[in-house]
Amino acid sequence: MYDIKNTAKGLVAHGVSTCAGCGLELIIRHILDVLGENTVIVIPPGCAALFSGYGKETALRIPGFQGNLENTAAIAAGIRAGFEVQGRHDITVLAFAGDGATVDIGIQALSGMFERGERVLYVCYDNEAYMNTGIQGSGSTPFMAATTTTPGGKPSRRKNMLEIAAAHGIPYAASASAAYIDDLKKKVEKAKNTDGPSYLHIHTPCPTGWGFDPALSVSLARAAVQTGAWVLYEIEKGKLKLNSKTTKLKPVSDYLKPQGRFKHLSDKDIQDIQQEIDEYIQVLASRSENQAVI
Amino acid sequence: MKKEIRRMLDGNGAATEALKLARVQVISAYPITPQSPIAEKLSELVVSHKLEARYIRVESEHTALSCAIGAQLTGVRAATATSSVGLALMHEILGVASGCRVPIVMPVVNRALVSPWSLWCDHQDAMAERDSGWLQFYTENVQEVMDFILIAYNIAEHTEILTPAMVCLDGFFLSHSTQPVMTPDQETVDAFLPPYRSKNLFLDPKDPMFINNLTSPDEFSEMRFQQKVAFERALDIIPEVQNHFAGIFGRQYGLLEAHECEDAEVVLVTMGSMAGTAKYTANMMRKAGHKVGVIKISVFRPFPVAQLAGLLKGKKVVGVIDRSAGLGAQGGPLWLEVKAALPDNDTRVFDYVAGLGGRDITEKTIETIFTGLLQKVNKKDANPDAPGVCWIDTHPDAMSVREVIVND
Amino acid sequence: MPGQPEKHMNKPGKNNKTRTVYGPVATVFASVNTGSWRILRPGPDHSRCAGCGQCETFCPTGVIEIIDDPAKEGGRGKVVEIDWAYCKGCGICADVCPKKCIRMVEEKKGNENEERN
Repeated sequence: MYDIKNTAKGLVAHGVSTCAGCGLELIIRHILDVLGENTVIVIPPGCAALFSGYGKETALRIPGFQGNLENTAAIAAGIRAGFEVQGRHDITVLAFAGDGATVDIGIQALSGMFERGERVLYVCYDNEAYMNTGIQGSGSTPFMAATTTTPGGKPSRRKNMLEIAAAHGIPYAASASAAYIDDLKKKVEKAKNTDGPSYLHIHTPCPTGWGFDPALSVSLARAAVQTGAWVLYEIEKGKLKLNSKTTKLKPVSDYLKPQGRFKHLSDKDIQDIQQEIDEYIQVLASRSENQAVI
Repeated sequence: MKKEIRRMLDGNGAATEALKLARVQVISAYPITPQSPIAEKLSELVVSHKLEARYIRVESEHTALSCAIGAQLTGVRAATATSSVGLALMHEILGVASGCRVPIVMPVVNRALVSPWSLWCDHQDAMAERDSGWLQFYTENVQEVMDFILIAYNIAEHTEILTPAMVCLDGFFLSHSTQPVMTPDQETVDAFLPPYRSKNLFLDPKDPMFINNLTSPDEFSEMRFQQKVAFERALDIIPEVQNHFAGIFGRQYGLLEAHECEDAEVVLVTMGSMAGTAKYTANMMRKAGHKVGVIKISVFRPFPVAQLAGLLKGKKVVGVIDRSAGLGAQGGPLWLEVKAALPDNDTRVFDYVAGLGGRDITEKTIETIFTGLLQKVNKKDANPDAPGVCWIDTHPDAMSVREVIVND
Repeated sequence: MPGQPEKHMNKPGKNNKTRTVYGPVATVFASVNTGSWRILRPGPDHSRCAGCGQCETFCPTGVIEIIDDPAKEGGRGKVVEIDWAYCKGCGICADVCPKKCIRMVEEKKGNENEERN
């Protein structure tokens, strides 16, 4: 069906109007490289909708549907059921939504899909705010981060969506990062082969929304992991496995300082954040059955 | 040769049976009074393999319709059903189904919208969705529930229509009222309704396309226009399909039905289960020498303007019963349509709001309306064009139904 | 307006290889010329490039490829090739290069799609 106007190496067009240095753009290429063309994608409105395209043109070479902001998981579940009754079990159904569409307005449909055990691969690309509408705070915006609706810094903690997902008892849930592509690809492969719902929550820096030099997107995502502000781990059949180190972490200020959204933080604020990270890391480490490798 | 059997079914049962006969393959349903028996019975049919389908026990009506759209785009008939606030929760997704031309057929068990909370019938739920781009059928009895659903599939999936359809049945009055229904056999229905094929947009990795992406102002109107054309074509195609149905099953339906209208001095326009009461009352009044007639609107979207105008040509006085309030408008939604269909200034059209929140529209209510309309013909009102809607069955003490104790 | 629907119904495609579909759908796989966004462009020092592929892995636009250079290291050498039509000039490649052999240099307007050393 697709009329190929410009060729591309993979399943994603190269010229897409995401911002320079976009973490989401980086991961969607690698994810679709792993999943291949026997995949159907559901994308809600948001930054990822730039890949849905405009008018006649799309930036994806696989079939897709742009749903509403809150029903990504529901449409994906319907697509899965439609293929299942026709015996087409080999197709991957990928739901690809941002943090707002996942942890806020889409959490009901997502929770339902998890609970029913539908075989859908749900990816949340987390850029930690409603970026496409102009950087408004979401349930995934971190504590104290400034957005256009939390201009003084977000006074509350973020939702821990990965734990919420895992609490449904789904067979596979994992966090990943735009800075650890090999780790991400392994997780996508695992999720693809999971017989049931799988959930990947991926940290994807946003230079525009976070206020940093686009060149630093990957370094910053890496700093998040190296400081423990973002932890890579998997929960497989209820068992937690750490994929990133929990010891000898760098101070969180390494991650916070380059970002405009945290520039108002006092030393005390940074101390508080550091303390919270230290505590959470201990919790994860005590639950983990292994030593981290990255 | 058709082999129909006569069964006792209620409206929900008939709707369920019709969805089964249409061989729906994916069902996503959420329970709501008075639709719940449809959601229950379908799950039972699936678990007992009487219907080969996937049943998705969704967590909301919003998801129910979203799932149905996703499933149908893969190339199967997907079904859901709802009522009242459930339909309201679907509102956003109704436009996706119609805009993406996904021809889902959905039974809507009419129930009042909040507030006040009501479990019972009126048409406000479906009327609130009258511009959602769905075809709307309204049924008078349980047989029509069965037949209109089968007919609706054939119309909705027509290559020139490709538009989803609601088949409305009055909550409790039809959904829970058991009536004898001629139930067709599967083979005959299969011949009337061939297996589903995606004729327009679909999701298939073997033939990929990206559906429902952002559309520019340069093309938006054109896509709405495509829908408008489908509705206009439906006015021709619905009667063709209804005739085809009549040829097979022997039951003839139309966009609307006229009862004793030819020589009638006054005609009352009705919709849904009230039509039966209105026809019965008209017969009684005719026996008493009053020339009254009834029109039943079976298809509200598209609205059969020309057919209605033809039937009402030359009539001096027409009444309309709206089973929804039309707050702030010049009249209820059905009245607005009837009024707009009759450019002839000689016809005076009077609106009666009745039957809200489960109030029965009785023979007495209909008789009161007919009597009033006849007076308008014979006596000429003092103020014939008086604006306003007559809330015919509302208690005179409406403004003081609650009196509370003052604490001060 | 009677007559309007008839005029618009059931149009065949413009030729026998196409058909008309209704509703919002994209069927053309296309790119926009994001290369025109560049203010800075990556300037790789090919002589120092080890061909590790970090820039290729982390380029969000997917426009970097590590290719063999027959003129380098007796044919075993690798160099960085960039598709200038789409490179947005974000600078991630320069940042992630372990040998720091990509330097961001000023884009000369008008030459966006041309190779420049």
